[in-house]
Amino acid sequence: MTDPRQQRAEDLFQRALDLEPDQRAAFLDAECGDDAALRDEVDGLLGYAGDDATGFLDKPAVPMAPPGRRLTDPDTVGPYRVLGRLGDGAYGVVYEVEQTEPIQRRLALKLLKAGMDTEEILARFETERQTLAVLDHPNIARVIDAGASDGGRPYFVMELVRGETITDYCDSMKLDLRARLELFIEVGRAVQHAHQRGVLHRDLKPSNILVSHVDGRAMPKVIDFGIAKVTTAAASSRPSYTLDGQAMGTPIYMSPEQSGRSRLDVDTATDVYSMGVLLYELLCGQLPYDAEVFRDVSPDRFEARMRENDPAPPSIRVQKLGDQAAAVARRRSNEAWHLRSELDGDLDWIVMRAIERDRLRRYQTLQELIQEIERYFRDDPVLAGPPGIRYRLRKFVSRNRGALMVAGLAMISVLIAAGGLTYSLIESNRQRMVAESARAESDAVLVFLSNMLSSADPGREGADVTVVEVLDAASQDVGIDFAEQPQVEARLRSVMGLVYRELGRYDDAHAHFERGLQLIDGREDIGVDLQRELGTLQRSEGDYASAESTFVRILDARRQDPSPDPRLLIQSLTDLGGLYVMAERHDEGIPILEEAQQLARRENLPDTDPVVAVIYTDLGNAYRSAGMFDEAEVLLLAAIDLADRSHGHAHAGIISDIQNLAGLYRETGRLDEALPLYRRCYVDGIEVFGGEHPVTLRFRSNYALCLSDMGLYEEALVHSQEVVTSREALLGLDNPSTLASRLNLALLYARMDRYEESAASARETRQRIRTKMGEDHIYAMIVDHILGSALHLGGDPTAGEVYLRAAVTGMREILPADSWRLGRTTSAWGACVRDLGRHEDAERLLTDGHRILDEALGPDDKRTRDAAGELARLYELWQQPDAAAHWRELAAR
Amino acid sequence: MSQDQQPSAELLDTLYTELRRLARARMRNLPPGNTLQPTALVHEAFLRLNKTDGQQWNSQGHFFGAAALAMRQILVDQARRKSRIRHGGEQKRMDVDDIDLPIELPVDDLLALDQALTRLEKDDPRKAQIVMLRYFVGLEREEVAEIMGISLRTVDRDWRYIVARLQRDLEAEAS
Repeated sequence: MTDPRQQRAEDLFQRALDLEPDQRAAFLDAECGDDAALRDEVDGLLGYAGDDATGFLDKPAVPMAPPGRRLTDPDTVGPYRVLGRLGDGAYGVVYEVEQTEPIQRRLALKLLKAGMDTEEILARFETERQTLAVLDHPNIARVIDAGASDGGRPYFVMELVRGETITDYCDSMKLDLRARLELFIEVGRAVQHAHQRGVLHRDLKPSNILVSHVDGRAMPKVIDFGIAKVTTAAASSRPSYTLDGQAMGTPIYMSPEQSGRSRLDVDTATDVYSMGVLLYELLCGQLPYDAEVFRDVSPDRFEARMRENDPAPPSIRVQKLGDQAAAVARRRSNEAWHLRSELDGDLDWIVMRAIERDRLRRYQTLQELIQEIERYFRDDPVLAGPPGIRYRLRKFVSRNRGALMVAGLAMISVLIAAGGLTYSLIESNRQRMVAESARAESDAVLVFLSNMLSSADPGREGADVTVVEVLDAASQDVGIDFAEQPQVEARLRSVMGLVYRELGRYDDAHAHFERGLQLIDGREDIGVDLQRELGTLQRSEGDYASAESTFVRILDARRQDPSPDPRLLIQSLTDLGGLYVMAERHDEGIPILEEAQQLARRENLPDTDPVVAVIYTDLGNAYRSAGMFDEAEVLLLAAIDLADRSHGHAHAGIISDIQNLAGLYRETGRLDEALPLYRRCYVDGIEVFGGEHPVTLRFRSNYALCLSDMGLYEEALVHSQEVVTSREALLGLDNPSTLASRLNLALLYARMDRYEESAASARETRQRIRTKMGEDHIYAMIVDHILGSALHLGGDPTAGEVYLRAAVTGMREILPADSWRLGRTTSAWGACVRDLGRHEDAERLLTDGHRILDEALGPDDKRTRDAAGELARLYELWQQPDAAAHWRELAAR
Repeated sequence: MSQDQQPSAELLDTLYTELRRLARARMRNLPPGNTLQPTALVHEAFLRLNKTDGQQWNSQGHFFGAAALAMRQILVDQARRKSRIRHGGEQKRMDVDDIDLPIELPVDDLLALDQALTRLEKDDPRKAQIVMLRYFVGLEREEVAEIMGISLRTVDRDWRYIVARLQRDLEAEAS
């Protein structure tokens, strides 16, 4: 029996709740009077009223979804007996039903909600019936029948599928990425099967892909095939329905061309898009767009909304999840950091290409998407990846790690460091046919390389076989093995050429590139790649004039293309612009790089596109060399941010961008800011590449230089010496990088006033440079500068002057007249001449050197001030105190 | 619910056994670590029992009332067992037949809810029945109204009182 006090308390509780919150106190004061216990009881209850936060009662104790048959559900629909509910949503309800005639079986029946044109839908279904009947695939649930209920609502009957949505299944089974991708491919093949029979799904989303667990394995089934076409075609004659009643509810899984107004114009790429969104969700547990993005927006604005909310790649989404990342990773039997690094790169690229808003940039068919994932599985380069052999080689290396370990660390380093050959033709849609054969060719290339490298097996050839010997032997074979396949031979030669280039064997590299170019004479598409390689080689050799004419030729050819691929055009522009920057011709480089930047903007290319990202770096460096440090800093910071967004911490791309920024800080005298950046690059480099890697050694070398600039000589010396030792072992004694590090070491000794060691080191290096790189290479002049100064400061200015004179004479030949290097060396020569007592000569040289430095770097730069100091010293010796004071002042600025 | 709809002890026992049997069968077919999530346990029990013992159920309401009682009993038994094991009373001596239904509510809370519900039954049987049908069988508001022959508005008003009262009781229990 109901307790009267409880009854009274409940009554007051209910009446109080019906009032506005601010009226309740007065109401209860009046009703309860002096009965404090009653008042406490009611207040206590009100404290929990409407408390959703802990609403444990809102859900049944044991989850029972999908709910059983509702009392309100009909007993039969058409000839089918309703057994229970399987699910419901905005479109209507799905029942499990039983058919008795002609055979007894259980089926799924989808009863659409009222308000649609039933006749139209059924008429359309009749025309589709034949098409749907040809779908016969174990992973597609067949649509069997359609009809109208007693209430006039349309329904579809299909094969009964028990299971969870694919996303729930993957999460509850804690499938890792590999298993998810395999399941995804299985679904993709089913959809592809339908596509080949001319049927689009048009409404692919997790709730239409159900997975059950059969015999210990996942059994996915795509349901609702063809239904979206029948219903939306009918719906399109009822515009009001398209706005709110859209069976799909949210356009998140729907391609922009389908969700927008012009939805008639859809093809297989529309299902590719939906599958791409699903893939995104399977990988990172998030949707590319938040549902809020489409709230209260009419369909014709969807695409604009998408553009405003550009989705981040899955790896970045995981990164941004913060604390939740661990939970997402756990559902993938993974840890957050590792999940992120697995997504980073290939998987990011694949999924982002699949959900491209512009359908022409998307994979055109599911077959293409599936093949990409299979490439990822095989560690083959994916097409969505950056254009360039560097990436392809990295994939090659990771695929053949075992064989390569035998071949030695050096080869791995070389392959990874090798750069630049663009498989541009694969990138270009309109050259699809060409791309197919190119791919076959590149596979042959990699097979050959693989055989070549496995021949370094010590068991067969003896442990002393070096990588270079293997490469040399392969160079002999390549012309014979591929005599019948000039295309393949050309490809191989381009790869081998760039390995030689990275080894510093420029002559051999040249021979391969030039032979390659002869072989493919008349095949412009491949020729361009080889020419790019050759241009890069010429640039590495310091032959800027040849590199320039090569890059100009490629650029002109691409400009003349009547329908140029903007990405290729941008690539050519950055090649040439980057070359100018390197050649210290930034005045010419900047406009070209700016053109590339404008082109990228006009074409709406995302900044994360590797081709576009390079512009930030190159233009930033161009501004940096032009002394436009503020502009440079902005771009370089943006480049880092960009690399951070698309790669994350400790990635090759980001490290080199940080390196550039550090260089900027170092040049502008912000050494305190530069040093930690250099240190980070060095430390991250060890993590990414390993300590004994050319790239890491470059970072370490720069770190040493910065330490030296800050006067931390002892610490700098340790790093500098080790860089020399490592490079000698890794790259050989005559490698340009090895020689450069010896120059740095000699310079450091000089700064430490250890002139004998400086001169000794410089002298040995000088010989190698002149033999290997030629007398007119910039290094030959730099080494003369260092050697000359070491001798001069070590007490033998007469011997020193010979080298300093040679250095300046040479630099005047090959450097622009306003190069700071020329200014500095001229100043050094002047100082030497001064100490030889030839004051007039010294004045001319020192003044000239200072002027060049002042123009190139400004009066505040340390190098300019050093030059002013030398002048001051001259006038002191010359007994001209006024002039001395003037220069002393400039030196002390 | 009128007296004639109260299920007999025998019926309850049948239902209790059947639900546990169904759950066990379901669990066996599930991969390890999975839950019973997509199982319409009670619904299936109904279909099955209705076929075999169709006559024993006076109405759908009768059945759901019994199912709720059985389900509550299963969960409380499960919670007591877990509680005992946790307190070291019955180390690992679990029946092979024991099943674990997935339930989000912590063991202690479920036991507290059971007691609070017993008190509510004494004070106000109608409200207790609403909890039984919604919480232990998972019926929707509309279904509860139809089965119990009361208006949806009554269900909703009762529900807001029930939620406040049970939460208060649970919290009092916990502190």
